Amino acid sequence: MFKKLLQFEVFYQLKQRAFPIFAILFLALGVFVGRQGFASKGVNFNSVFQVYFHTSIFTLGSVFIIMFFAISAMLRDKQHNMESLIFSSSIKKSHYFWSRFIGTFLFSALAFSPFLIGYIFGNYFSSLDPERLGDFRLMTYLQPWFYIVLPNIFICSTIVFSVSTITKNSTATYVSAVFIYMLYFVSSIFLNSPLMAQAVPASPESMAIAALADPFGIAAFFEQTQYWTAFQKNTQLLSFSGLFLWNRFVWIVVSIGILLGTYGLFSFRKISKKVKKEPIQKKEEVQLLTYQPKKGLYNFKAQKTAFFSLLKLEIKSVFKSLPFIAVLLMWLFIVFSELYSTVISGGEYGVSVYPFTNQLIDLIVDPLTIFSLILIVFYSSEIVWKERSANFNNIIDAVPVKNGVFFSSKFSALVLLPMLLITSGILMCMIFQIGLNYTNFELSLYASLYYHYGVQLVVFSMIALFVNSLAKSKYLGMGIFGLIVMLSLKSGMLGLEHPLTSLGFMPRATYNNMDGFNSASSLFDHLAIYWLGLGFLLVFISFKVWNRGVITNISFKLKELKQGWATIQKVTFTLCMLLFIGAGSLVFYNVNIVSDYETSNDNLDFSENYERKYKKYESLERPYLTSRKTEVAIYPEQRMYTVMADYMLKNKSEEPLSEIFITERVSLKNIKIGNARLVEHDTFSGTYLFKFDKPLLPNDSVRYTYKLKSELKGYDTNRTIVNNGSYIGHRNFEPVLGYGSGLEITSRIERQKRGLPKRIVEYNSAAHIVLDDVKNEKISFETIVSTDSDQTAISSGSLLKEWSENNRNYYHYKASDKILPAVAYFSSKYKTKKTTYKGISIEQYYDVNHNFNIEEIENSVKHTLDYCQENFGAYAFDHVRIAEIPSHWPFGGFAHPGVISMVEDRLYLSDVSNEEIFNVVAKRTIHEVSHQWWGHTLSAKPIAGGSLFVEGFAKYTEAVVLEKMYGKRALYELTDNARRRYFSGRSFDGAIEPSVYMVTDQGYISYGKALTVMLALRDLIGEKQVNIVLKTITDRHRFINKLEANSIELLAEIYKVTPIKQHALINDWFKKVITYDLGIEESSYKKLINGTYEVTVKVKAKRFETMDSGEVKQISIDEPIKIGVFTTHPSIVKDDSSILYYESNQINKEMTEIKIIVKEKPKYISIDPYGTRSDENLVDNVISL
Amino acid sequence: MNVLEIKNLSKIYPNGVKALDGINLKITNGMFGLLGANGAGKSSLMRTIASLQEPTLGSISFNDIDVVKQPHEIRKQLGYLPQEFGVYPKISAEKLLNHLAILKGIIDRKDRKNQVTALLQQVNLYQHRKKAVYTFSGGMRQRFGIAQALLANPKLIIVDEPTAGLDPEESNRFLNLLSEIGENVIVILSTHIVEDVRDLCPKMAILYNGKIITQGNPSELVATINGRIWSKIIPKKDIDVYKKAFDVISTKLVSGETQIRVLSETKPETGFEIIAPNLEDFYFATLFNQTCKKSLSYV
Repeated sequence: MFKKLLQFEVFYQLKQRAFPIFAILFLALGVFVGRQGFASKGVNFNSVFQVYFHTSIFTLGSVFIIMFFAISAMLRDKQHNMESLIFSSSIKKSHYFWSRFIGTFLFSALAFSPFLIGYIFGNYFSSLDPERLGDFRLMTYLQPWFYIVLPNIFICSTIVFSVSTITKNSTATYVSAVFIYMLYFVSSIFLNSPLMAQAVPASPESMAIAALADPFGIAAFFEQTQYWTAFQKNTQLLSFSGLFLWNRFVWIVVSIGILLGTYGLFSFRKISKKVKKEPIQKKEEVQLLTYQPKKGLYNFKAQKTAFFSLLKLEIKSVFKSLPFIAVLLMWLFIVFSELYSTVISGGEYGVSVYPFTNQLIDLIVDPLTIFSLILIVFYSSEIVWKERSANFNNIIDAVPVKNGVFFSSKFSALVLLPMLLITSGILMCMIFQIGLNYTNFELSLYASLYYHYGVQLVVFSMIALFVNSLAKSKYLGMGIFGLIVMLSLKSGMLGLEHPLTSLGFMPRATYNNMDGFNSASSLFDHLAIYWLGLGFLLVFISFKVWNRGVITNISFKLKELKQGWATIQKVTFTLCMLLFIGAGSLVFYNVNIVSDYETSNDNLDFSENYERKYKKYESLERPYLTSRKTEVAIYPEQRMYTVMADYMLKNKSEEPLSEIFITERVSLKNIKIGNARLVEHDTFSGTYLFKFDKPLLPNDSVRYTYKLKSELKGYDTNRTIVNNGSYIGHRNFEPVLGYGSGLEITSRIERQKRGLPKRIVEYNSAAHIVLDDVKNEKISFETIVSTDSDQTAISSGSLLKEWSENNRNYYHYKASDKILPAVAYFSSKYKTKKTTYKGISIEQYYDVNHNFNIEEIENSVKHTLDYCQENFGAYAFDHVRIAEIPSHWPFGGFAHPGVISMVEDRLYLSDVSNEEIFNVVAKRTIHEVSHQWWGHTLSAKPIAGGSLFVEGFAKYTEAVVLEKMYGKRALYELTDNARRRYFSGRSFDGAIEPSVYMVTDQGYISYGKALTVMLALRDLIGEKQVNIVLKTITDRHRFINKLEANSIELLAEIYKVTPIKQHALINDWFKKVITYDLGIEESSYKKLINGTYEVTVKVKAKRFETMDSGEVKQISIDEPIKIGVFTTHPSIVKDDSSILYYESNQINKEMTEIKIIVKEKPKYISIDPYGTRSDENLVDNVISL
Repeated sequence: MNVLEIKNLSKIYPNGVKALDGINLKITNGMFGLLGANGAGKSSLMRTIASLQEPTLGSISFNDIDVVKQPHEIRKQLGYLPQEFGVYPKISAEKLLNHLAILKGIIDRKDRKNQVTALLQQVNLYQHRKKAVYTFSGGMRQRFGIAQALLANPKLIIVDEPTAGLDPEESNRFLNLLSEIGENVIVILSTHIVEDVRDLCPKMAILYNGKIITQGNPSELVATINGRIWSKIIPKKDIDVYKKAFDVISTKLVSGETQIRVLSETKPETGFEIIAPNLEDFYFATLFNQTCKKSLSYV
């Protein structure tokens, strides 16, 4: 009997149209994803890791398949009124239940599995780089299927199936599917899942929780592979062990439990009837009224009353419906957790920002769009088809209410939904602000949300209504509109990137505190009119073909459309047409004609053309800057600036120079090089070729001048020149002296497609201070920068003179010594604070509303100046200028010679008022000020190992100065961050990891491991000795203009101050890739007779070396490592009073037992508490006693 | 005096099926009964008159208003009870009726409350007014439908199979109410229950395969077959024999025995009794003639 039932299930489900549709959909999806070629550097596209990665993420989509099959399995009897027939047969409950469940599970799995097949096709039959495709291994695809796909589908099936069985309600089933999905995303955000791009790498504790709690196994997968190198990702299969094993086991057991529970609860043979408790009717005295007909009114007031009654009804029914409640709750939850995690529990380093309105808004706008669209897609159909779904349309359609009233009530109801989300989001933000005693609400900024996000959502609603008016059924309407939404969000894929064709594309309105919305162009406004115009036209058509009475087909609707045009309708229609075409033309003009619209293909064509024509000039010897004199006039109001440049170029080669090739960045006027002739000027590519009649001899110089004007055309956005907060660097306008290889096409596939030769990648230092060439050197610099009368302009150099003229402010700066050419020009409405400290002028330029941390910053500057001058030599300038720049810059800060730019929300808005949390303001300030030494005073050769001198030393200075200011607890936080940055960066980098002294552009080494190693060095030889090394090198290079310091020299100096027996260790740290695994195995203490305590500790220590192949080998260990005993956790140690013991112990075995005597009762013991070794697992380094 | 004129009305579906075929009717105040089998086209006709469906050919005018061209005007005067309908979930009878009253143009709150109360009392739903309509039994829902059809001031009331699901008492109440109202307005009662038409309607028509095959006053129509209806009790096994021999218009079971009625000018054979025909006989006779393609000229 059971077999027969199962057979029937298979037969029935196979006939569902949705089954092949789903199967094909997922097959196509698999092909698409497989072809994408998304994998981090060095990882093969078809590596086990990638297959797991993609497959597990897409099993999330299987929830919707399961929902469909669960409903068709368990609800079909009720839906098609077969219950009385089925239940009166002799079918057994267990047969019924299990056959239906197996049907659901089986078909869901069958519908989803084509994804993997598609993926395989996508991998092998596409244009992917064959070098990153490993050989075909069946296990690569089979293992994820067994470990992820089948279990996930099983787990989801049980949940959705159970909901379906118990509630016998299809809406509840849909909701449970959506709920699982959304719950998943919420918990990912909450638990710092790597699926969500978080700035903060997740702590091991939360990773472990996520790994177990994630029913899809994705977090468990990430937990196991988080530190895998590219090599491992390519070769290793996932091991069915550890948290991954537990996760699968636990969830399958839970699912079986759910199933059994459902089976128990399932009341078979009870045709479900909702029995509601009858409210006790009061006996009331009622006057009997006889029915009397009453004439109705049909004027405007009547229609208006009808409108409101309809609207009220629509809204009420939405509010009472489960999907809406679920979405609203999810939304509120996400808003809450986003706000909480950023504003209260802190971001990077555990520090949060002051709750400025724009900061809060930024956090909620992404989920806002997604949730609003979910509501619109679902409810547009629900609302439009409400009457027909309830079969009430026969009655409603016969009432004397005009189509327009029905239509507008539904439209209003639909539009109210996203408005509700926006409003509730705003209220949440305000509640947070009030809770934090911040009352500067900036209501107009909140109100702008309705405009910037509301417009798009309103247009989507209009389109939804249009689609549903024409569709023949509810699900067709929902489906088509859903498709339109997805296409519009992914329009780039179809080549429809132009703003006018990209339905739903609206430029993100960026807002920052300094500049407001000003830097956003009027593109948004024009597009808003354009899309609203279109929306109204569609609305118009919809209402004219509104389904009333029996649904008619398209041809009839078209006929309906052509008839009955009242004058007002004609006028409205024409008006909308005009708006639509007018705004569209304006946008087109500005985008295509004024700004030279370029598709990405156009850009590639340009690059190809440039390379083909001018690569021959790459080998041309180029002259070098020795001096710069500029006149920069900034016009913030007009978003424009002009530059007059007067440079000296020198021939540093050994041959005479007869040609100079120049590529412009901004179009130049009047370019002249001494008495060279301009022989070729290509206006399309922006290149100039000069020839010297008398060649420029070696060591000779020539004068080079140019003028340029940079202004915005059309809808250009340019964050360097804004109404308030302009920040213009030379790299924004400086013409490139020579051939710019950066303009070449980098993608290997693209180059192959166009027949370009393979590209040899040159190393380019990407450190803080970016230089163009090894032969660059320090130059002399002078500038006159001017700006509007209500702003202050800043640049590098001592301020010689400032004056006002013609309603503009002028500033004359000149560098007293030669500086690195990394100069910028600032202009804003600054508030200033100037203090003279030991002969140095500390100048702060900041926005008048951002005065929270000014004292803090100044204090840190003083500490840094003191420490660095004392230990590394005199400060190179007579001033330190710190200037605020708007938050649209993606970095924290940048050190120019003598001038530091700091981004508003990374420094000025950080809330460090709480003494206990890490002072990130101090950290950043110290870092940037120290760059005046590390980079500007000591300038390293920009080759491998160069960024050690720049970033490595800056991080080291952070550590030592912060320790002086705040105690050892600062080191804990700092090194924790550095270690995690190292490990996560290293696992995502595909190339071979270089050793520290050969670091190139690996940020995880220069900002991560470099710190660790420097602190290890400090522990080994003492801070004084380290500083001597640094000072020696600095003194040596201080007055040399050429950039010559390198890491070999550094090592040589280190050896000089280190005992010979430690040289091997230093070699290991700097010249090899060494990692550790340290931990406290166990520890105990006992009180001794004399009142002291003896602490016994078993320490485990392992050391590993990563070879060039990526393989990690264990090696021997024999070095002094710090062990610390404390009365508080090392992360909150302020001063020595909490430190009972902190000494180096020689560790040379895998397991060592150490006995320590301390004076007080010990609370914590730790090995290497302050991060001097790169240790993946930090949890076992500290235990409490 | 209200007048509904239907001229040459046809509804032809794209696949060629003729739901309505050249219907001509003129209806004035009072109850008008429309009889027909299931699938004859009654609901289609009702829907078309109620402005919910556009005809392919022909016209309908109510008091000189063209229903097809000006549906909005017709709706102002219309009360329509469809053959089947559902309701919105989670809304009480009172609230829903109130909402419909607004939609039908009763703006004044007091007037509305009065009419809603009166109607709910009239259809005996007053004590259930706070319950969700969705939870009503079939009969209760039908009564609700009746109530809404009477909202405002309808001059043209169309009720399609209104007594379906009502028990005899409820049915009675309703029909009495209808006939009271029907004195000054047009009420079109579309049904397959012959007794209702016989009891209430001074005029009627029979719809068969989309065509009106006969119309007129029920008594007069019945009179046309006076003296031509014969009845006999026969054994069950002989039914087919008799059907072949005579024009058997109906076969009934009376006290467990089979009674046939035959249409014939003269006594068919021994054992047959002449009986006074009723409307049901007329109905069966008419349908029988249709199926045999014999024409009876009764217009």
